[in-house]
Amino acid sequence: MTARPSFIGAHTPRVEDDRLLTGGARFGADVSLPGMLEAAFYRSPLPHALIGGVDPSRTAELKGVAGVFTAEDMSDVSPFPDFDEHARPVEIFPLARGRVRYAGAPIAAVVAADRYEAEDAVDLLSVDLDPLPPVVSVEQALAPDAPRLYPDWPDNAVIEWPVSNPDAIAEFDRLEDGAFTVGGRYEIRRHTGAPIETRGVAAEFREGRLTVWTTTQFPHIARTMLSYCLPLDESDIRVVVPDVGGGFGVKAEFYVEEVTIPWLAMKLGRPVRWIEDRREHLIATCHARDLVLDLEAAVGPDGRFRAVRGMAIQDLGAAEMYPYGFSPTFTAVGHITGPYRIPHQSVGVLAAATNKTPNGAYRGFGIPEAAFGIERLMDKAADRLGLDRNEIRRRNLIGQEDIPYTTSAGAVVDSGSHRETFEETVRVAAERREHWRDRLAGDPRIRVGSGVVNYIEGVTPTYFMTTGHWTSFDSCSIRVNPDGTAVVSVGVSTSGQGLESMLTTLTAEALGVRRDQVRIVMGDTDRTPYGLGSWGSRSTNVASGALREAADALLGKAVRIAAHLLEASPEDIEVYDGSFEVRGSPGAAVTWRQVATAANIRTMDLPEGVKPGMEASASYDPPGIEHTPDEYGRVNAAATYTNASHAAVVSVDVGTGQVRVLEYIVAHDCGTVINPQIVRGQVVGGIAQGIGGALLEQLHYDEFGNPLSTSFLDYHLPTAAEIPPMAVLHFESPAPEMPWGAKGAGEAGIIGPAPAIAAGVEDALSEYGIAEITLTPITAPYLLGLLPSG
Amino acid sequence: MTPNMHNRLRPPHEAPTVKPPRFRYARPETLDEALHLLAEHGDEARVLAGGQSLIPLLNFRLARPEVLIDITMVEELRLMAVENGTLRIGAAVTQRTVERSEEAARACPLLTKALPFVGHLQNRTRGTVAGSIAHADPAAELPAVAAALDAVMVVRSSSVERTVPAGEFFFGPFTTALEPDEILVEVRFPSSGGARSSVVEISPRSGDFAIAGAAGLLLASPGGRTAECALALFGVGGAPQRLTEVEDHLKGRRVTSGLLDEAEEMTARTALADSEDIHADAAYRARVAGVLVRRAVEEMAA
Amino acid sequence: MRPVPRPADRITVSMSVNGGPVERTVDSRRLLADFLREDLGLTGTHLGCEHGVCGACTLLVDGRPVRSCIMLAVQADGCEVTTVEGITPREGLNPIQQAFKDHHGLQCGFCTPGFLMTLTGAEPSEYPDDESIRELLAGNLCRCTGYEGIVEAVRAAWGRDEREGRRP
Repeated sequence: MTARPSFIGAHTPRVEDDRLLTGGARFGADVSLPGMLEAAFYRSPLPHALIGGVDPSRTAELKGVAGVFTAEDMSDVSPFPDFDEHARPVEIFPLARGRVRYAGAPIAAVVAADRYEAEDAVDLLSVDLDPLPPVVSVEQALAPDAPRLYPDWPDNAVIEWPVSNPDAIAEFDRLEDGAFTVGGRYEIRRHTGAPIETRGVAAEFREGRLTVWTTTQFPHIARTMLSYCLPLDESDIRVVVPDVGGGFGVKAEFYVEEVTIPWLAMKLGRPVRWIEDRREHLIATCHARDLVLDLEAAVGPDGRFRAVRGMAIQDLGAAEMYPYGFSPTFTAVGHITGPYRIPHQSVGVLAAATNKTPNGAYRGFGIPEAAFGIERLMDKAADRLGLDRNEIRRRNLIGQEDIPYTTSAGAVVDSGSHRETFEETVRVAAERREHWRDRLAGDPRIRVGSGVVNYIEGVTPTYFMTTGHWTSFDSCSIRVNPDGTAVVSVGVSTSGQGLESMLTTLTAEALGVRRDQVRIVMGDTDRTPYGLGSWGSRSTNVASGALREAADALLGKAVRIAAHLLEASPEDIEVYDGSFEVRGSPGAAVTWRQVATAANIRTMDLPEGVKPGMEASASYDPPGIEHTPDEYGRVNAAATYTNASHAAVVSVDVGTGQVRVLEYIVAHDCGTVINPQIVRGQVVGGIAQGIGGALLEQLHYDEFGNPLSTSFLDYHLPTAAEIPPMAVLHFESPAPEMPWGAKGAGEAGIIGPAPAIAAGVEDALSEYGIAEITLTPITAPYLLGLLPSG
Repeated sequence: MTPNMHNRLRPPHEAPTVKPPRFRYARPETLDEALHLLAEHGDEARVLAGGQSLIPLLNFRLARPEVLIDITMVEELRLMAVENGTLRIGAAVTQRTVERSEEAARACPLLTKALPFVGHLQNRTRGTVAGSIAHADPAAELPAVAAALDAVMVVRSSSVERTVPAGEFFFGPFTTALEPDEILVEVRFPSSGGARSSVVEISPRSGDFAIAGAAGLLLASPGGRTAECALALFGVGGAPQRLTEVEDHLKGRRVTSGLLDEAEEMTARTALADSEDIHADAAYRARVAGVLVRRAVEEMAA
Repeated sequence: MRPVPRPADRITVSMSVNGGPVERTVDSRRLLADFLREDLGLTGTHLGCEHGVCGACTLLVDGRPVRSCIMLAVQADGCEVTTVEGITPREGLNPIQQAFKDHHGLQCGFCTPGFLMTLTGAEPSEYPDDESIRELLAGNLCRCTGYEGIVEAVRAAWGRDEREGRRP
C-alpha cells in the first residue's frame, strides 16, 4: 500500500485565508455575548509603591458601572502556583496585592456597560499609592543597599546560576601556543513581540461551567492554570481560542487578566469582556530580552575557538510572569556556541528583578541573544587575527563529518547543512554587496557593507525548563465521519502561522483523503485532546507525530475495510485522493465515504474482527529530549535543530548614521519542507521582526522607572519601507527522528538579523575604523556617535 | 527643561484610555456659526478639522474639551486658490487635496514636496494643512514650510480678523499665537514658483515625525549666485526656526563645497537644538541639522 | 438664517455603509470604528492601536482610505463608508484579495483588511515601482509577513512583474 503523489513540499493554498481576507474571521475583540459587560483596568502609574486604598466613590455618578474590584475582593482566588525550585519564589496575584512593582501593574478592575463607560470610571478612581524607591537596572538591583522588590529576599536576584566548568576554564589558562582571548559585553535591549492584535479575554459562567475566550497560544495550559487559581475543576472550564492576530511568544504567557476576567464573570453573573488596548499592551504584556552577554573566548592562533566563558545577565523586570521570564536566558546559554565546534563552555546566568514590566517570551527565546554574542565574538577574533570574517567561520563550523555533533551545551545536532548554507550565503552576499556598491558608487554620503552569520536553533524544546511543570508531548484525535470527511483535533493552537493548512496537508497525506475533506479543530479544550499549545517552533513536530500515529491506526483499519468491500487483499490496496483502489485493477475502487459509512453506519459490511467506528487518538512525545541540565548546564533540551545562514547588505549614511537594509539573504534548513510558502513566510516574517529589533524597536524607561515607549508613536515596528527584499534559499536536511523529517520553522528568521546587520554596518564603515557595535537597536544617534564628526 | 516632544502622546499610565471622554459636538455650516460657537464656549471648546492630531489626543484623554466644533463643512473654509501670487488654503482643505493640486504645485512646490512626508496617505486624506500648522507639533513638516515660505496666517474670532506672519505665529511646542476664541481660517503662502525647493528629514521610519528636518527655498540669479534663500528647521527645537544667519551667508554667493561646509558648520553652531526624546538627544539633532541644511542647499543649487 | 447648531452629546447620523443606508443615533464621542464594529456588527474592521498608527482600522470614506480609529462616527455623517465586507464579492474573493491569497500576503490576517482597504483606495499609477508601493504600504503595520508577500500581491494585482531596486 502506498500513497501516490505527495502533498509534502507542494504549493497548496492556505485554508485559513478566505475568512481572513473577507472580514469573516472571529478575533478576540469580535466575541460578543448577550448581556456582556466590558472591563478596564486601573494600572499603577508608579513603578514601585505600596497600595494604600482604592476609592471608587466618584464612579457612582456613572450609571453604566457594574462594579470596581481590587485584590481584596478576590480572596477566593489563589495566586499562580510556583513550580521552579531554583528561582526565588514569586507570588503572582490577579490584581496587585499590597505592592506594585512596575508601572502598568493592574490594581483595580472596573466593569461597565461598554468600554467607553469603563474608561470613564477608571478615570474617576482615586488610588492611594505610597511611592517606594525604584530599581531600574541590574547594577542598581544588585547594589548592596538597593531597595528590594521582595522585602523577604536578601537581594533582588531572582535566579543566580554561576557555572564553573574546569574544562572550559583550563583553555583560558593555557594560551602559550599563540592562542589569545577576545571578549565583550553584548547587549540586546528591551523589546517585545507586539502582535497587531493585542490580547483579549471574554468569559461567561453558566450553569456551573466557565467558558473563557482568550487570545492564548496554549489553551490547555491556560485551563490548567485557571483551575489552579479559581475554585473550579478543570472539567468545568472550557478555554476557547478565537482567531488570534499574531502571538510571537507574548501570548504564550498566562496573564493575570486571564484569571481576573473569568472571576468577574463568575462574580457578576454576566459575561465580561476585556480587550487590551495598545497602551496597556506596551506596559502590561510581557517584555523580552534586555540581556547582556558578558563573554570571553579562548581562540587558537588558527582562529579556532577553544572555549567560551562568561555570564548572561538579564534585567527581568518585576518577575511577575509565568512561564518564567528568565527561561530565554537559559536557552541563550544553551545556544551560545551556535553551529561552531567550540569544545567547552562555562556560561552562567544571573537574572535580577527590577521595577519594569516583567519579561517573558518573544520569538527566538534566547537564541537571538546567543547569536548576537557569539557572532560578534567571531568577527572580533577574525579582526584580531587579520583573518577574513568568513574564513574564521569556515574554520569553526560543524561539517557533515561531525554529525551527530554534541555541542558544549549538550545539544545533539542530528542533521544539518551548516557549511552548505554558509558557503551559498557568502557567495550570494558578496555578489549583492558588489551590486549595491556599484549602484551607489556615485553617492559620497553612502557606504555599503555586508555581514554573514550562522546559527542553529533547537526546535520543539522541553517546556520543563520554562515552566517547571509541563514537558514536551502533544496529542491528536481523528474522527472520520460517515461521509468520509475527517475531523482532526489537536492540542496545538494557531495564532496565524498557518497550522490549519499544515495539518490539513498532513492529514490528506497520511489518510489519503482529499484536502477538502479535512477539517481541523484546535483552540478549544472541550473539543481537543490535551496538549501544550504552540510555541518553541514545536507545532509541526509534535502535532505531526501524534497525527501520524493516529492516522496510521485509522488507515490500517480503513484498508482492511476497503479490501473487504473490494474483495481484495489489504496488501493490494492503494489510497489516494479520497479513494481506495486495487493495485493493477483499474476501476476497482471504493471511496473513503464508503469505507467510513461501513465503519459508522452499515457495520454489517465490516470484515470479521474489525470493530465499528472510525476514530483514533494518539499522543506524541518527541524522542531524545532531556528536561533538566547537568551541573554545567549541559542538556539536549530540544527534539531537533534547524540551521541557517543570514546575510544583510546594508547602507550607512555617514552624515546621519542612518542604516538601511538594502537586501537580505537567508539560506535556511528546517528539514523536510511541508508547505514551501508557509515556511518562506515564517522565515521572512521572522527576519522582519529581527530587523525591527536590530534597528528600531526599544522599550525605553527613564531613570525613575517610568516607561517611555507607551504608544506606537514611540515603539517603532518596521513598516514595508524599512524591510528590504529578501532572497530565501531552502536547504533540506531531514530530521532523522521526526515524522516526515520536518523541523519547526516558526522562530528561525528572527535570530540572524542583529549580528548580520551589525557586521554589515562595520563592514560598510571599515574605512573609519569605528568601535565595535555591541548593542541593538543600532539607532542613527548611536551609530553617528561612533563616527568621527565633520 | 527642554521641550519633551513626547508630550505629544505620553499620558499617565493609570488610565490607559483609548476612547474619548464625553463631549458635545456641533457641525456649523458657515464661518459665522463656527465663530459664534467658539465665542460662546471659548476655553471649553476645541476646533476639529481633520482630527488627525486632535482625536488621538482625545482617545488618550490628553485633551478634554467640553465641545468640539467641526469646521469641515464650513463652505468658506473649503477654498483653495491662487490669487495675486498667493496660494490661499482654507482651514478645511485636506493635505491630500493640496498634494494632488497642480495649481498648488506650480505656486508652492516646497509645500507639494513636503506633503508626502506628512504621516501616511490615510492621515492626509483627512488631515488639513491649516490644522497641522495650528497644532504646531515641533517635529511636523508643515509649520516649517510655512516658516520658510513666510506664510501668513489669517485668524478670525467672532469680533476680529487679523493676520499673523509665520515668524510670529509659532511660540513653542504645540503653542501658537492663536487665542482660544480664534480659528486659523486660512493660510496664505506667497507664490515661490521660480525658486528651487527642498525638504530633507531624518525619521526613524517612513511617515514618522521627523527627528530633524530642513525645508528650504533658493532662488539663483542668472549669474548662478544665490539671490534669495530661506531655510527652516523642524524637529530640532520646540518650534520651526529660520536660519537667518545661514541664509544671509549664502546670499550673493555661489554654492561651492566650501560654502556648504560653512553652512553646515554655521547651522550646527547656531541652531537652537533643545529637543530631546528617546529617539535622539539634542546633540544629535544639532549635528544632523547641519548635515540636512547642507544637503538641502546642495540639492537646490544642483 | 438658520439657527446656530447646538452642540449635542448624542447625534443622529445617516450614511451609506457598503452601499446600504444606515441611520443611527450615536454618542458624539463614538469612534467610527466602534460604530461599525459594535453597532453595525461589521467586525472585519480591526483595531490594533486606537491612536492612528497601525492602520488595521483603515476603511474608505467617500472612496478614500482613512483611519477609522481616529475619526468620529459623527464625522462620517452623509458619507459613503466602505469596509472589507463591502469589497468582498458574494462568491469568492475580489482580485486584490485573491492576490493576497496567491502570494501569501497574510498570516494571522488581523492587519489584512486594513491593507486591502488602503490598496482599494489607492491609485496604482501613483505608485509605479516597488519603492513607492512600500511607501504606500508603510501606513499599515504587519507583524507577520515581513511585507514580502504583500508587495508581491500588490505587484500581481496591479499587473507589475519586475522587482525594483531600493534606494539607500
